[in-house]
Amino acid sequence: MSLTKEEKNRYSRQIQLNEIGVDGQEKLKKAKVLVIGAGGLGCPVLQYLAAAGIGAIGVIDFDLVEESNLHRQILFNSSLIGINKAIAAKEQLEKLNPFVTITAYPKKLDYQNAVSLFKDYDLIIDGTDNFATRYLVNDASLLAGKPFVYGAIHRFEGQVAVFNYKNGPTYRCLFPTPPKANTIPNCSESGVLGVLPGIIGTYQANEALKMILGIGETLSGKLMLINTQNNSTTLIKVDRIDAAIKKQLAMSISPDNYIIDCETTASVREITVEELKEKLASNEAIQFIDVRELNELPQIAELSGLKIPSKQISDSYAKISKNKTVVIYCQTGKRSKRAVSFLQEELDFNTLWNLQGGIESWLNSESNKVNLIKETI
Amino acid sequence: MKINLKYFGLVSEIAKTNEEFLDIGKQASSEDLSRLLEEKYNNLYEVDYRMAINKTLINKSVELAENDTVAILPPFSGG
Repeated sequence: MSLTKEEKNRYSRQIQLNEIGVDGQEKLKKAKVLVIGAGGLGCPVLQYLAAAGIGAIGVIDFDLVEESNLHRQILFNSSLIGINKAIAAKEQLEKLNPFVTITAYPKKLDYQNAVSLFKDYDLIIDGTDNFATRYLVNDASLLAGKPFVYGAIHRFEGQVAVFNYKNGPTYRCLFPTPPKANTIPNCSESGVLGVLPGIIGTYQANEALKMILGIGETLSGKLMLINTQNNSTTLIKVDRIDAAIKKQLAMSISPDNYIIDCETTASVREITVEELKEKLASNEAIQFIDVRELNELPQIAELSGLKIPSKQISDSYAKISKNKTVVIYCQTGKRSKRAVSFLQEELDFNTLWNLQGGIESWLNSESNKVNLIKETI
Repeated sequence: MKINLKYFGLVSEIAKTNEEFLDIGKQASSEDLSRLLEEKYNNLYEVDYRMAINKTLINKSVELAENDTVAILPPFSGG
């Protein structure tokens, strides 16, 4: 795959580098890279890879360009609002570099299309914004035998790594299973300054280019942590865990493995402190389950019942009533929400309520404050 | 035994700092440290974090040594 005169001129500044040269540029032209998501991370990845002359670039995204994307997804502009991101990206990238071929997939990556799509490319770039798709990208890359460049952000921090490359670790060697629902800000964005995904996405593009060119050291077996508030970077060594990978390869890709986290707890029924008091006042029979650790304080007499620390819930649920009203609580309502979600989903409990805000809300409620004052007097 | 803790992402929000030094007694494993931190920071229990000691991710509990640097790493999901 030789380069035309125009291409040699276009890429002259990188061809000038001894490590790249015409040979390197031809490697880039031969390369096929698939970018998952044309969002905060995907946009800078796409821009730099297209500009660098990666011969074939695929981009998959089902979402539309929104006005609130434009502060960080600077591949797009105001005239593209409402257009599918994969299609808008193709349009923009073809203007940036007519010498590369862009394929747009305006659809959702799912367990049915991932592996076969990945097989058409040499390298996958993960620019997703949720855990379900990240684990899908990891597992499908492993099954298709393709390396992938990982990037993720949280507020002012980013993580970058290369997975499944030359017998290196996979994402599951770092984080074996998706976090439980509602523990890490996920579906609703927690806010981001536009430059952060720009920086992290650019690091991802840099890793991709080094891998294709065969130069430098990659972030395979290393997790790079970047904090843009204090400008610190940290490299953490991550080992490959063969047992985990074997298990992963044996597991087929099925829809159950990639449920978007926020969908699972949406159905957890919650009861407020005031509603609970009404139930107590009407003498309704309620079974209380305290899922805090055994030594956690305070203990509330009105809420006394079974004590099952949340870590033990999967072994000790036998005493929980399946027909009485059951109220589950912890200190703030989060561990108990997770417990309710687990009992409902896995064990078909359906008379459960999560005490919203937990013991803290109970203590803060107006009528309880009065009681507390009386007790201290 | 003094150790240096480095917090990332959600963990630094829970601890309200990126870094701290803790005296964790004469002898302690990484598992003991987990328990200690989860007592100190109630909501930490909610996070599926991993630990790295002196910049190497650990896959089983190990004994800590004086001046070890322990990073507490939560997963990030944003993009």
